Amino acid sequence: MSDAPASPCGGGGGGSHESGEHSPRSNFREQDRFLPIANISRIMKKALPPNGKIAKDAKETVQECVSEFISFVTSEASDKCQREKRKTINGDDLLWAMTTLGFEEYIDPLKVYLAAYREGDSKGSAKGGDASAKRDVYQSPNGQVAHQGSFSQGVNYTNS
Amino acid sequence: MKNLCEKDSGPTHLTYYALGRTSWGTSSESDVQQSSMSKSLSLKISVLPQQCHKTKLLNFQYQDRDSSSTQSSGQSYPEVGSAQSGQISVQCSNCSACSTLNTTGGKSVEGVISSTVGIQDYTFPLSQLCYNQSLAHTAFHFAEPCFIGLVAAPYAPQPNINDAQLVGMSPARIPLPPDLIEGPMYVNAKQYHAILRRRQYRAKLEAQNKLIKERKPYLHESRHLHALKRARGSGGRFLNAKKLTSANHGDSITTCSDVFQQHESDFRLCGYPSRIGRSVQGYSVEINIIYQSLCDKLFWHTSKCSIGKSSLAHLHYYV
Repeated sequence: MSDAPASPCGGGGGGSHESGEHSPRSNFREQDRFLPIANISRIMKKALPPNGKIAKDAKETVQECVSEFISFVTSEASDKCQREKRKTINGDDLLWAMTTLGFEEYIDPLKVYLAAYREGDSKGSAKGGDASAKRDVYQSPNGQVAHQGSFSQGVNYTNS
Repeated sequence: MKNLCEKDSGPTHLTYYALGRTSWGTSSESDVQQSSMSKSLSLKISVLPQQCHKTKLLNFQYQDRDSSSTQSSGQSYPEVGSAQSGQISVQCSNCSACSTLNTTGGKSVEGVISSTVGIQDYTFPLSQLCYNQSLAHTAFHFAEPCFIGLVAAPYAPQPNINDAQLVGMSPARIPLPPDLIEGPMYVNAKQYHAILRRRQYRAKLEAQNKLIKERKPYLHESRHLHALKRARGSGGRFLNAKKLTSANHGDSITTCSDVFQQHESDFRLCGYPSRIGRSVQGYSVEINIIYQSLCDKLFWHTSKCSIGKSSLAHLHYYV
């Protein structure tokens, strides 16, 4: 166990156990550019036998690849929205971006996924349930970010 | 308006004659264009945004004809009965056969300019010609708005787009500029511009020192400290509630080691030894041993950090 350095406390009454320091070492936060690694590990484990294990560097590599792919597709869709003087990227823009970048094979599964997502989890379908679960995990104030994330998760889900 | 029409009566007549010629010539060109699918597709794409401007031009011509004599209107369009019905019928024909009439409109603009160069009243066709030339140069630029319009439609047209792209573009490879130490890298032609855009964005982030160079072992300090305090079993794994309860009633050696580890961490963090009561309740024989070791630790820690007698009082209270 790596112990924290001991700090003196005045008197018998104990101070706060936790220092509560939240200052990051670098200016840019890791969780702003990468997806949560626990969710990625859970998705990777779906493709493994029950006793399989994944090394930490493998998880980190897939985390970086997935995050870069999201930025790749999103920048293409964003470029199109800027040409049309629109501010909101929707699912159809991402479908167009996938087609433009040469990922035509993914369009049909993504259409099915988008239809299930738009129906919502009130229908009680399995895919709707997965979509709502993924939305809860991200918990971002901007709905578009969660939407894009769930879209990319859909891509990985169809891959596995 | 009347004065302008009186002045332009002669040139108007010539304009209509030129319109007739160009429409007859364009029909043969449309036959030639039908042979190649890709050219016709690009032509349709490039022509579509022009509809508004051509409608304005047609309205302009009809305004002239409203005040002009009956003979000139009869010569140019014998089918049209009245002015308003003529405008409506032309617009409908535009809707029905977009490619043919739009091409006719483009050629007719050129005919108008060739016949009436010196007249000031036709600066509007001049601007249209410039617009038409700019369209010819940037046909690919306007191709994407057409795709946008199709994508906005329901999903039926999308397979057509996919088929057109698959037929038109084979999986060709374009060499990227050698930014890396390795030689030129060949990538998918469709992704070339996107890859360059992403490279520029990453370079900008690196210039601002925003790239994540090293990964931190943990994100939150408070959670890390909490994990340090949790009880661990053999092998270093955390003990859950059930295992923690069973461990207390289990082997005495394990219990003693757990107690010592907890107290070490507690004293280093200047925390309360709050778990002495729980762990020592069932073992009256070992109380003296624990008490002596705790006294030794207190003596050792008194030199480093000032712990008063109140902690010792707590010990007495629990014992």
